[in-house]
Amino acid sequence: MATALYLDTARLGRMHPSALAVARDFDRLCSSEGGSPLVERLIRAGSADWPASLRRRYPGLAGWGGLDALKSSLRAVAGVPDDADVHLAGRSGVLMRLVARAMFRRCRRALLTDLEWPAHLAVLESERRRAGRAAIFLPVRDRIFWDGMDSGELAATVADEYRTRGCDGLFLTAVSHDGVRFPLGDLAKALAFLPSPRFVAIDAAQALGHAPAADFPCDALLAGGHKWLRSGRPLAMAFAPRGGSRGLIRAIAGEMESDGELDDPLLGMSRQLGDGTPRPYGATAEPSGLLCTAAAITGGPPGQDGSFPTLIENASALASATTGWRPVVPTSALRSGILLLQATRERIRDIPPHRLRCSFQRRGLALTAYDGGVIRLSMPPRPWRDGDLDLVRSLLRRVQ
Amino acid sequence: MDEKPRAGRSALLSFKFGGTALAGSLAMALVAAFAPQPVQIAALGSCVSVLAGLFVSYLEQEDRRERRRAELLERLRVPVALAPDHELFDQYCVIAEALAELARQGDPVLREVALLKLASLSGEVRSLARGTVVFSATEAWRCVYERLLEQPGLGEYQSVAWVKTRDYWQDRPGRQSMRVNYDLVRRGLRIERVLILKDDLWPAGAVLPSPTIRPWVDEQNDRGIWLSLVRESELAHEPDLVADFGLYGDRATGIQELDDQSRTQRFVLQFDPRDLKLARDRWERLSLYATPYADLLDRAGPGR
Repeated sequence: MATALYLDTARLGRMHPSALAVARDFDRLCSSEGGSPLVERLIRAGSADWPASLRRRYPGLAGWGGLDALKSSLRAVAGVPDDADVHLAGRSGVLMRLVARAMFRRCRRALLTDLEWPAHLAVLESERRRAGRAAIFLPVRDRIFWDGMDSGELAATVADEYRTRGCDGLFLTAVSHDGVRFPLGDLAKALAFLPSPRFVAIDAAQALGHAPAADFPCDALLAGGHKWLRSGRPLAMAFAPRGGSRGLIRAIAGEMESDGELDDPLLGMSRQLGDGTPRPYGATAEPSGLLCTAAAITGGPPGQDGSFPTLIENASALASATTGWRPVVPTSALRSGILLLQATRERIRDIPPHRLRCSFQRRGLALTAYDGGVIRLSMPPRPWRDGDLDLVRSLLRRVQ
Repeated sequence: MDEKPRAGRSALLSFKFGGTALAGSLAMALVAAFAPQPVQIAALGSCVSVLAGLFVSYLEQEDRRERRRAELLERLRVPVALAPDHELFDQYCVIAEALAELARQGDPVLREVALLKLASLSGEVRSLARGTVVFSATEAWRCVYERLLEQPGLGEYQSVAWVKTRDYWQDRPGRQSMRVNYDLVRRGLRIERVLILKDDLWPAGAVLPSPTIRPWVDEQNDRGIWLSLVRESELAHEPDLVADFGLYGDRATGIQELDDQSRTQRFVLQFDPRDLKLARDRWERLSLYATPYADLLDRAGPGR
């Protein structure tokens, strides 16, 4: 059955209509131009100087202002300074490695929690070993979900661990994949009287376009355009907001590039277009993620300012509904637009995640499933429309 | 071939003992047979006295011999201690043989000059033995410095650079050392450096140092060296902190003295744990005054 309700941003948010229009026209352009200099020029400088005939033929591309304009709008969405560096890639893993290498080059001991995305933890561990540094792993997830740890307590626990274990680096996840919105503001206050960390990296992959940017100074901010921004085409980004770390991240990117470790064609292409320095021939890049992300931002990303409370309200409305699924939620200040529900029946808990996900899909509901009969639903950015909430409730009751 | 006495053979079985004892016994037998009793007693008394005298002088000789043996063993102690260390032992032998050869030279002027040079040499060796290596008016110390930094297991290098001029570490050896720093940072060595800057290189009130040294400072920051800065004038009350020194993990500490043109006058490398502790204390006190360069860059904001 086709999807009636799409509540899944864990992998890919539903494509924004503006992004879809751009993607269509960009594909049409490439079908006639291939990778001609016209396309290269479009990506670099935008369509502002296009003749009227081209604009008429590809109206979806008329709003594309070029790579620099995209970076400016991304900075604005991420809430980072106007002069922050922006590194763009097709895959987040390669940017994660770049950031992890920068962090462990500077830091003796970095603090991590179990809210981090497991793949990121694996990259952090491999870079930690490579540099011969230490990492302190602080488990907090169970205390958040089962012991009712609140935001102040979470911030104090992290700050205390940071201080007592002699850490000088931090890796944090702004909104975890299971919906915990980390209290960055509280942590900033708790760390105010301690020596400032030498490097702070924040994973905002689930936060960009979802939750308001937190006022927490960081050296690297990782995000993506294809989840809550809804670009529909993958685009990973790493911002370098702090002036003191931009040069370091740039230098390490250069080292990794010369060592052949930045094996991401889009990153290579955006670096080449950004600094104008020709690079050795590499793999062919797929640049539509750049244009689609720009269009999705222009089209209005959800989760900014006004819509975050709506996401929270939508999650609360669904959590309070009687569905036979138990909400697994943190205390109110740690909540986000991601809601976890756990099956109350033992039989459902034993179903493997992919089967559980498919059984909802067969009934028209797209979501993500985890072990133990846990499902993850990403809330829609607008208040539940008539019938949508009832539909979700009825589907949840049917899968029991 | 000489016949060696058999080890463990009793002295009572020797010819010397047998002959002497036999002659003495015969003499005493004649005295007992032909001389009156007072003469016999006098002869016995003088024999006993002679024996006692011989025994006392033997003990004295044995004591002298023992002392000579101890002195000899004491002299042998050094080569014995050095024997397991072949490289040092070879050097010891070369020096000892050269000294023996020198002792055979008769010229008094040569002897005088040699003694002067040897006094200096022995001072240097004593200093080495205490874990101190001194390089004077040469950049050769950089080879040792680089070797130290490349030692496996050295996780951290803390360095203090007292930058008096814009030429600091800008000559060819200095640039080479910086390249070694960068290479080691890439390979995992954590380098922290405090820059003590003259006020004309970092004017009071300026957020960042002067453009004349900024490229050098920025390059280090960008390559991953954790930099902190302090103005020399801020250390006026802590003059012992104003120096060029480095801590090579827990292995050694080095102090560099430069002239006004930033050329090395002296570099002293110290391996003694007490020197290392003093340097660490100095580093910690200095860190209280220094500001991380990354924070200064943040403060400077866009268009710095």
